Amino acid sequence: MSPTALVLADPRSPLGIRATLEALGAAEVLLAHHGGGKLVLGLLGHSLGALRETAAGWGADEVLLLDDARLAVFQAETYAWAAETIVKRLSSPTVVVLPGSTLGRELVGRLSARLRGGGTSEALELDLEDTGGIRVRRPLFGGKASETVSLPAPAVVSLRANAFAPPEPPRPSRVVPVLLPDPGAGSAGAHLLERLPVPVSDTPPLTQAPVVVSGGRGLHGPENWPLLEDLARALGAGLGASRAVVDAGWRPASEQVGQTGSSVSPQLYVAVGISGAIQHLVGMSSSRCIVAINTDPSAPIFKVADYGIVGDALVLLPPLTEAVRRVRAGVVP
Amino acid sequence: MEAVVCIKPVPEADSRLRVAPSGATYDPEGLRYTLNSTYDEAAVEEALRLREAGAIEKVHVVSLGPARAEEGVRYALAMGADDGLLLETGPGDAFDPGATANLLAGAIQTGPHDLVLVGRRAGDDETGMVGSALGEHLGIPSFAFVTGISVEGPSGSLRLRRFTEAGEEVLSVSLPVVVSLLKGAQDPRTPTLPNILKARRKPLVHQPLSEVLARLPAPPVRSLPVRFDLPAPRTGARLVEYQNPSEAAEKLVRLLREEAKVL
Amino acid sequence: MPISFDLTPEQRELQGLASKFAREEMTPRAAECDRTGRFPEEVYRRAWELGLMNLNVPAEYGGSGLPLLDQCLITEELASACGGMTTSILANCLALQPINLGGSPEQRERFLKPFCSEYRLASFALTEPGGGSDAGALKTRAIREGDSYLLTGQKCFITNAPQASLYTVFATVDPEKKHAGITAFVVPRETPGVSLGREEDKLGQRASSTATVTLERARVPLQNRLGGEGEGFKLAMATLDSTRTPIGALAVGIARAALEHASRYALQRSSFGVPIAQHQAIATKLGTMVQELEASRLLTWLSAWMVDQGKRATLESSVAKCYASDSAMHICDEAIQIFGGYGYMRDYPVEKLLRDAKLCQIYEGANEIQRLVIAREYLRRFS
Repeated sequence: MSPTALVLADPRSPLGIRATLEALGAAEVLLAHHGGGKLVLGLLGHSLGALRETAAGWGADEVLLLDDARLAVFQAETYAWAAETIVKRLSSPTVVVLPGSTLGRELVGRLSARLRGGGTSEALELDLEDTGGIRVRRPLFGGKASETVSLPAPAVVSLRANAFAPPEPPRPSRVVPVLLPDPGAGSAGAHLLERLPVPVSDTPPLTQAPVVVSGGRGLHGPENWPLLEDLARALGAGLGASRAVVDAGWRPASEQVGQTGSSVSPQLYVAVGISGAIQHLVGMSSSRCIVAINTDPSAPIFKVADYGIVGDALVLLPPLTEAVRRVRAGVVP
Repeated sequence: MEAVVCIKPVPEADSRLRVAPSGATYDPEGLRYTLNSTYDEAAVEEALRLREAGAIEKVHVVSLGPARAEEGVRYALAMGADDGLLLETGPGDAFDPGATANLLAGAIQTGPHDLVLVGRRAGDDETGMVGSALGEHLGIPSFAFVTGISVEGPSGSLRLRRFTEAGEEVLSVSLPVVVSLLKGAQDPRTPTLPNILKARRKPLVHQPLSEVLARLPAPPVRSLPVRFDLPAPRTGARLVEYQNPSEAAEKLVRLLREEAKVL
Repeated sequence: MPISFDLTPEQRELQGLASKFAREEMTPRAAECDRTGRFPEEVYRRAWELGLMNLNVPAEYGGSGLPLLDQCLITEELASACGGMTTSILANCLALQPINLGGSPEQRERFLKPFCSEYRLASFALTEPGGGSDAGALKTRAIREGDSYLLTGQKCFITNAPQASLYTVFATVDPEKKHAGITAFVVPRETPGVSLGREEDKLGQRASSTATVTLERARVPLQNRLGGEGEGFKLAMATLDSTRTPIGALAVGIARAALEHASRYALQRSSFGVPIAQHQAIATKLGTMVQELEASRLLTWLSAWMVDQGKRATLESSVAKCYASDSAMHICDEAIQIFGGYGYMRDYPVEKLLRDAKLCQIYEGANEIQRLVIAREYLRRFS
């Protein structure tokens, strides 16, 4: 019997929709590697309106529509119950793929417990096993390592945001309304009182930031820091500095990265205009991924970096910030 | 109203990890464990502030882990929690998030648990799943990505703020409830030396896991570790070749997103 | 009880508290305070809030009354972040110990309690410009006048003197009597006739403050005399016997920091195609440094354990202080050598450690005196 993959949509925000598309893309590739199967999208919510039509073009074989007042506010308890209703309808749901948005990341624990199946989160790679289970590679320890786990069916997996591409090309799907049984599950006791606007996030503290952007002498002067700050904001990054610029009084000592400053170990470290004195390297070389931008191709920073651009930071920063903004419009913390 | 905070000891953040001989997981030998600090400390702090505000009477701490997990529980007691329970696992016991939630629920069920608090995720496996799975096993609502808890509105309810990509939501939720904190109270208190000494006299029960298992069917472990990888040593930067700055930026972002998967 | 080197969970917690405090509060300020000589009051205040000061004050007066071994564990952690700050944090223990040991219950109540209920500093004032090690020959005079004494003299190298609210001062009621004339007094800072010299500009431990205290007919009430006339010398020696061991632990902390820096550097720095740690010249250095560090720590633990058991530990505490501080100097010296040219630079942390370690060989009884004490104590076994 060919496998079925169920994706649950997070239609609440543009970011959630993008994560949903990534989940559809991931599920499609997974099925394709195993000679195809059925790709089902579960669209849960209330007064979904035009979204019904939009979602029909996202590339699933079938969209199961659960438009119900009890689903108006996302609550893991009711959504897990509704998802279980769908899973029971499907002939052989091998795997439930959840988007890497807050909805998917919250639901994965509850739904896998409810289905009494395997579950894991933050998937970077997925592969079906012959037994019908699924193999997932995922990062852990702040990205310092990765593990591969094997989940028996019915497996529930939420994805790491940005790790998968949307389906290509999207194709139309059949929309099937599903009614939820009455009475509903649990207490469903939550009431939405207020929705606040998306906050403009400030830069996180240096040592906790998942991304750190640091500047050095190659920025030529403190007046150029706004360029670096723009990039940091786009990445949701903490701001660091080399000892040289702290000593020169361009930046406060609290920003210094290195042996006499803070040690950082983010997922991504971007060293801009920093040559890479040893005292700096010991404070950041355990970062998972290091990017260096420097005019001098023989600068030591390129020896520890994963990716490098040889060039003038002042020229490269604006387009880089622009490119980052395009792929990361308000990332989930 | 009483709160239960679930905490987990994890290897210190700057630990040097090694792959275990099995290749499937990491080698715990020689690692130093701490209270799952930033996340769990914030959860304990949040509970203590609710207690200090008069909203709850007691803060209980529960942990599942080997005997050394006692240190984390003691730390929470020294911060101010009232009592602790350690579900003590044996050597070689390993539980995935679902099984962990199942066992914790088995222990929590036996006492008052109007508010169950967990940190955002564990600093080691980082699944962030235990909170909502706990809600399922306890049969009560659960909310994650919560950024603030306050006691407002009708009794038997709490007001939560939670993060969503569409903006923060303010919810009124009924008790009992499981809350996973995206971020808890800022600046969790550091236990003072006198409080560390006092905490020695607070009740801390070691409950062998077998006692929990006697009440509960053995939870199935559903995710089996297959392999554990550390990043390969660095061999020098891959330099992006480009004609103009925009091209360099585009290429770099693509590499970071598709190859390094850090964006 | 059989000997065990396993720390109790409680000891590990105290160690954890000190280590967290060192990492979060001390390390970030260590380089700056070393450069500027600033006295980081906020660090000491926070140390007090967390209960890391006055470790030796008994619980009945509001202190934590920790065993000496626990005090040493805390001291090592603090000193691994900054030796100078640790000296300032420990200075209260030293200054209050004569009151602990020689004060009447009323005096302990009056003098110790305020230190546990609010942040205050105290200084131990024994050393004089004319001589440090020869404490029996001190020149500060105490002249009885009715119900009080008039103190006149100079005390130098007094840790925390500029910030202290109280000094424990040793003076003689009769220079002819030598040791037998020495008497201990508690002198509040605001006593008329007490004045401060300028703050010393030191080689190392620059985050702690040091100054001369001058007494000019400073009137001290009889109720502030600790013990009887002539009992001061024994009190000073008993105090130093119990506070010498933590100086060993302080040296261990500094040496540990140097060894850790050197080890990380030796693994990271390459020459001739391999990390320098793989060169025998460097590896044998590290091998020696590790031995010295381990031995130093064990000696301080032994000495502390003996004090906690109520055993006489004059020899052991001198051995611990002397060996640990000499070893710390050697370890810091070798750490600089491993860092090479970088080690000599202020941008790298090891040269500070050497400068900080140096003081451990000098204060609380110079190592030369420690050797004499050790020899004398040892030879007693044969006579």
